[in-house]
Amino acid sequence: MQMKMGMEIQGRSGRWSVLRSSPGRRLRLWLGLLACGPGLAFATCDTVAFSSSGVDMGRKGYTSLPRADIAGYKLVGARGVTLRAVCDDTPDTRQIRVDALVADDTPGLVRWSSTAARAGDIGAARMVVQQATAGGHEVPMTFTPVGGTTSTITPGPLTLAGAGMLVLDLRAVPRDTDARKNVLVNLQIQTLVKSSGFAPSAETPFRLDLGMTVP
Amino acid sequence: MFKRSLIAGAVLSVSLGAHAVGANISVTGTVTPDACTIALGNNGNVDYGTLTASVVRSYDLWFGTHYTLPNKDIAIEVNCPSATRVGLSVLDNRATTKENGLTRPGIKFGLGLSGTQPIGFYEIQTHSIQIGLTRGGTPNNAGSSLIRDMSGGPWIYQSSDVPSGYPAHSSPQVAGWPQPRANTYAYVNLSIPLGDSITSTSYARRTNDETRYGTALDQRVNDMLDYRLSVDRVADRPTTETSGSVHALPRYASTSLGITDRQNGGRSYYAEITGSLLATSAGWGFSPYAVQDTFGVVRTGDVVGLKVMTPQGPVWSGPGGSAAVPSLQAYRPSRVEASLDAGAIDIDVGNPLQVVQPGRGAVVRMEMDARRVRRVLLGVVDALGRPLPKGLPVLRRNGALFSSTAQGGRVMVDHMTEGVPLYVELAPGRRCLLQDIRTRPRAADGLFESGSAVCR
Repeated sequence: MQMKMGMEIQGRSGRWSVLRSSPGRRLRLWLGLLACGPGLAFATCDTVAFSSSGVDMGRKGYTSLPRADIAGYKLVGARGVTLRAVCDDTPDTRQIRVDALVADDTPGLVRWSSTAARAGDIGAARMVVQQATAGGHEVPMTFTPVGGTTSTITPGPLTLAGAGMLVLDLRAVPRDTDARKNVLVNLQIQTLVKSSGFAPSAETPFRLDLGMTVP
Repeated sequence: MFKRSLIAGAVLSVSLGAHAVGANISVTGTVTPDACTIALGNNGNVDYGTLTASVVRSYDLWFGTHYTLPNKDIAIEVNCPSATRVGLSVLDNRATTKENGLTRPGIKFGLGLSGTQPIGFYEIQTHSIQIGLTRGGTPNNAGSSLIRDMSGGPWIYQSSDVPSGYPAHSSPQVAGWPQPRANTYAYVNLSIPLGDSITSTSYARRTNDETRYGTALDQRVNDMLDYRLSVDRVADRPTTETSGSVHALPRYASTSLGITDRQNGGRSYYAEITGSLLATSAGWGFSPYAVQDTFGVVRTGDVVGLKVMTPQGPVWSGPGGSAAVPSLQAYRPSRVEASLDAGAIDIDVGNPLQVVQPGRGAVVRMEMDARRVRRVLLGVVDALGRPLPKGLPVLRRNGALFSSTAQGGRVMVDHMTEGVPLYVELAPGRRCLLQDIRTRPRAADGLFESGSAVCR
């Protein structure tokens, strides 16, 4: 893959034929590969995108919210989004870094962003990967939170307990096709507010930012 | 060439180092205090279908000026997520289409315009079955209040239970607030109309350890008399309370009589008479209502007892031929109208509708030029006893044409005055005089007198 990328750069600059026909071709190729060394660990992904860049939970009346299954919280709502990553490589594992989450005291929950006006610690969210697929094949996965231990491998659902690394195991997916190159991660975002110690007397907007990166 | 390749490789390295691709997502929303929801049955539509003018005219008259369409029922459902007190504010979105005399807010609602003319109005009355069970709290009513400024801001609850200024959950029409003290409140209300003017109301409710129930009967006999009978009792206690009241409007005063009898001892009575005497240089009159700062007097000519509709309700002209209009809206049009219903069949009013727009503090004088008249349908024959031909002019003494002969020689005389000669023009320049005029009194349900005459 690294070779291909290097040649694309050369080709764009009109040097493709020169590179192949030059007497010093082998030397220059090695020099190019050495220069590319730091980049060898990275995939090249043309597309990494959520199905929607913004999820609006809408206006929710506090009293009418149902209790969630997490003690002390009421469920504002749950929305599903899909992360789609289209890459050029066919590794055995695909790593997806989960960013911008702040761990809360409650295991498995993440706080609302500090940008949430008046939100404070009145709410939290739970991120659950329902399923991950590669080329239509369901794949197992693990999650390793920052400073934490890796979870048991599972086909889902898998709770993202804060920032960390989501690793998809693609070994069961054929390598000789494009299946490993097309990854879908179905994510459910459950938004919660505290059911005690919080009684809104005015509109309380909230915001939660989530980032996922394919390194 | 070597140098260029090296440079290209270095650029490639930097590019790859920054090539990690990611995506961001923002989850947003708003948590709000809860408001009750209100829903109207049939999406708030009350549909009378297509009504022809003849059908409309077949309905009863309201004060002789409006036809009353049959009542229609519509459900109003208020749902609250928790125990709340609920207030309903009814807004008229067609208030500007009400007739000028119907200005009391919350009583009558506009129906729109036909061209520039108001079509009419409608009223809202509660006749329904309500059954509910709530689990929540009842605020300590001592010193509590729900207030809102006139600009339509949020409802504010003030009590010893909730900090002052606690904003209530509100919408433009419904307001409530969380109750601080747990309680159970169950109630049943049953209100049944037993005709156009009589209503039966029963209720039962349970709060804490007390069950209270009662029933009442209200009837509006006419626009001058209504009464109410009621019985109220708390279960398992000798607390039956029976009361009755009568409210009468005998033209020139408002009277109320009432009695309350309590099982545990005590009986109370009350009687009240209110009214006003209004005397101005334009005339004087009585009013059953209090006189406000802007008022008027209607001169009704020589007619006593003519009912006049005013913004506050009906008044009647007194012995002086004047009716007091106790209140008029300052700087806004007010409608004052003679009520020409069945009781005024023999009254002719030259100017029955007055629309005035006085300044504040003004005393408005209005002239209706009313007089009592006799309307007589005569069967006229000639000297040989034959009915007069159809289509001949009928004249008064000064030659003024006022009618013509109809089929069978019938002549309608709208103002029959004793001693005033009436003529029929048989041919140009040839008249005969109605003589031997004999009349019969108007029947109870008749519109005019009848009689006979001979034209010679």
